[in-house]
Formats: sequence, C-alpha cells, structure tokens
Amino acid sequence: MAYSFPEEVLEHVFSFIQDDKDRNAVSLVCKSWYEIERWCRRRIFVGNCYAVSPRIVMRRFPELRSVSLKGKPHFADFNLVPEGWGGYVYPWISAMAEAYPWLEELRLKRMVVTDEALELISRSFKNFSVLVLSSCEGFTTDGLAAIAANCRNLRVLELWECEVDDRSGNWLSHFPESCTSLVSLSFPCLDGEVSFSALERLVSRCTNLRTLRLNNSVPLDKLPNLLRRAPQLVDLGTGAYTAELRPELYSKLGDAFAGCKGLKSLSGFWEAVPSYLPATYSICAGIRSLNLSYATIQSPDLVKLIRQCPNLQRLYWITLKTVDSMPLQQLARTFKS
Amino acid sequence: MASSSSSLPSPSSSSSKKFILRSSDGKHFEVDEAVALQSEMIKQMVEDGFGGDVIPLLNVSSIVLSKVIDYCKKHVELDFKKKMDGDNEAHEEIKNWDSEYINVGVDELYHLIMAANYLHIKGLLDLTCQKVADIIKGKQPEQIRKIFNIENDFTPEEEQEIRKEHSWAFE
Repeated sequence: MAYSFPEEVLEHVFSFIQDDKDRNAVSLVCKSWYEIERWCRRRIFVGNCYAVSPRIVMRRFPELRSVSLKGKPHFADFNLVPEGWGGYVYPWISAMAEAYPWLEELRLKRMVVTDEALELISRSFKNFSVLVLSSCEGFTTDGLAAIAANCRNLRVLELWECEVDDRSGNWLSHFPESCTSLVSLSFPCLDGEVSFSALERLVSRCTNLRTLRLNNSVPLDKLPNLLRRAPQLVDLGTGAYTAELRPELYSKLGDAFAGCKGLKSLSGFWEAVPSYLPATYSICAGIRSLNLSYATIQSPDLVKLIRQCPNLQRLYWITLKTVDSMPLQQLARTFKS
Repeated sequence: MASSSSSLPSPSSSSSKKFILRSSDGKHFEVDEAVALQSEMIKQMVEDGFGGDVIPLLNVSSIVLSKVIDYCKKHVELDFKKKMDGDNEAHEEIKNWDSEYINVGVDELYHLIMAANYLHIKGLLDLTCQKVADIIKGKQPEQIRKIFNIENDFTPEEEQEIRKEHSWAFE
C-alpha cells in the first residue's frame, strides 16, 4: 500500500530533518512532499549568490527564518578576484525585508556588505537574532552600531576575517541598556580600540554570554575585569595578551581565569607574553580547543601550555619561522588520542 | 495483548478510575485513567463532559491500539519513576525503552503514526516521526519513494528542473 501521511504529520517528520541534502531529496519525492517541504523549510544555504535570484528563493520558500549566503569564490581570499566583481548583499536584504519579516539569522561569506545593508537588516526583521559575517567587506563600525542599536533580540554577532573600516570603537555603546540577550560576541578582525566601559557593561548584563572573542586592541590589563564579569564563558579570545610584567596584574589575571571554570576554548594571544601564560593554567584542564593561529608563541612555551591541557582535542597553530619541531614531536607522543 | 477487559493485567495504581477503549474492530481495552489521558484527544473528550462507558476509537485497530496502550502505560510508569528517582536515570531508561519499542517495520510504523496523530499522543508522535525522519536521512528520492510506496508524479522535465535548482543553489 502507499503510505499517505497527513500533511501535519509530514511537517512534523520534516522538522526532524535539518540537512540540506536530505531536505532536497524529500522535495523530489512527489508533488505533495515538495509543496509541504517548501512551506516548512526554515533555513537555506545558497552556495553562490548569483546561482539563484532572491525572487526565486522567496517564491519557493516563503517561510524562511535563517539564510546563509556565499558571494565571491574561495580564491577571493588570496586577492585573486578583481575589485568590483560583485557579491553585493544589498539586493538580497531588500528583497528579504519584504518577504521575510520574521527572519532571524543571516550568515554571509565573502560578500560586500554596506552600512546601508546593515542598517536595513537592523530595521527590517523584528526577531533578528544572529548575524555572522565571514570574510565580508564594505562596511564600517557605523553599520555595526545600527545592528547594536536596533536588533533588540540579538544573540550572536560574529565578525570573522572581515575588512571593516573602523571609524569608532564607540559602536559597542549603541547596544541599549536593555540588551541582555547576547550569547556570542566576536570581533577579532576589528583593528581599532573598542570602548572598554561599554564592553564591560555589556558583558556584565549579558549573563548568557558564552563566547567572547576580543580583538588585538584589548589590552591585557582589561581582561581580568571582563572575565570577572563573565564567569560563565565557554569560549574566550583573549586579545593581544601583552603587558609589562607586573605581579599584581599577573595575580589578578590568574584569579580571574580561575573563576571561569567552564572555559573550553581559548584563542587570541596575538602578542602573548610568555610569562603571563601560566595565569591560564588553572582552567587548562577543561580546555578542548586551543586556537593559536595568530599567536606569537614559540614552541617551548607552547609545549608548556599544552602540557597543562590533558583534554585538548583541537590545536590550531601556524608558524612562519623555522622552529625546532622536536618538542612538538615529543608532545605528539603523549597525545595519542 | 488481551482483547477482553477481564484478562488485562491490573497496574499498580489499581484503585484509580478505569476507562474502556473500543478499537475499530470492536475489541475492548480497559486502562487506567492516567494511561488513557496520555491521549490529548481522550482528555479533551473527558473535559468536554463525555459520559459514556466506552470510548470508541473508530480509526484504530485492536492490533495497533494494544501497541499504543503499551506505550502509554510504560510512559505513565516512567513519568512516575522520574518524579521519584530523579531525571537522569529515568531519562536513560525511557530512551532505551523507546528505541526498542520503535524498532518496527514501515507498515507498523505508519499505523502507529496515524494512531498517535488521531489520539494526539505527543510523545508517541514525536517518537514515530523521528523514526520516519531517520529512515529518510541519507536516502535518494527514489529510495524514499520505494520505502513508502509513493508514486512519482513529477514529469521528467519538472524533476530535472528542481534537481538543477538544487545543484546550482541549494547544496
């Protein structure tokens, strides 16, 4: 017999199917599955923003909540795509502003995102909560200020390897005092200084903050204060991690780290001063991921740090200098798993 | 499962009120109130003042109903246990029991879904729909059609058009 499931049952079944390939397969089974699937699809990934027009996407999937878009090809990362190639997100945003007033998530990669586009995002979607920009360009901290000021339910704001025109570190102070919803705040790619008092206040009132990745301009002596305000952090990007050696700063930092018992991931350490690294040792037992891609840590100090992390599962480390790899080889033997 | 009320084993809370459910093929099942009220539909009937002795379930055969009752009984028992022993242990037991319970063929799964949907038993509907989703995952459209015996009513051109859109844009 043919198993003809009622529409509401199929919707329920499809709600357990997240993978794009699986959803695509489902929509090819028959016409009624296609119809039901398209109405209950909440998230899409568009691998090339020119492969389909916003109009077609919106006609097919009228109820999207989450959109991931990719613009320029991968080799744009190596400056091999000419200026003005395209990858503009604005036409998408303006179409989505009409079609998806309930859009919650936008994840953009290698796209040109203007301040105008950010402004429009911040005003168009009532429940907007997640903005992740990876390798994007074309916007300034003014656009970020609009996001901060207007997205009242923002949970995630992440900027990865974006080229941002850093006009003012004051954009953080545009988060209204009523904003307490942030779970993840990451801006390691910004150049300029951010307003520390605004950052400290924001971090204190967002009690669900799990991920905080700072930029290079946050000095080490600001870190203890931030950590004390967010003992619940799971993922920390430390900022520059450099300062002249001062015993009182070292002990403040050590105490602050010791209070963050839930930390599982560390990154940053751009200009790490080795003498300050042991301040992290108290929480190293819980560390699963250590991203030192941009860190200036020499291998002996690295080895010392890693030895404190018996539960480490991922290590990212890039070095440009020829280093003595012997200590790392020895270490590898102790981390067989 | 017995088809007459007298031979049904009496659960621990024997003092509680009983309900009699009648399957589409006319068999009677006596169950505790708490077991029957796992069904939102029955709960609604009772709240709306249904006064009869026997609740007729026109869409559920005795074979399926007895399996549904197994589910409801076990979950009443496990919910009680959860309250007494704390969450973790009971949670593990529910998970194991459910995964054993739902290890059935497509035909039985289909009838359980239809019953869970008709009776509004949320836990059972979640469990069965999750199972169908798990069957679908990783499969090609042709395989899914075959498993559920669904006719492909796309023309070859329509199907080709959708496939093209997927490979260009949505993968």
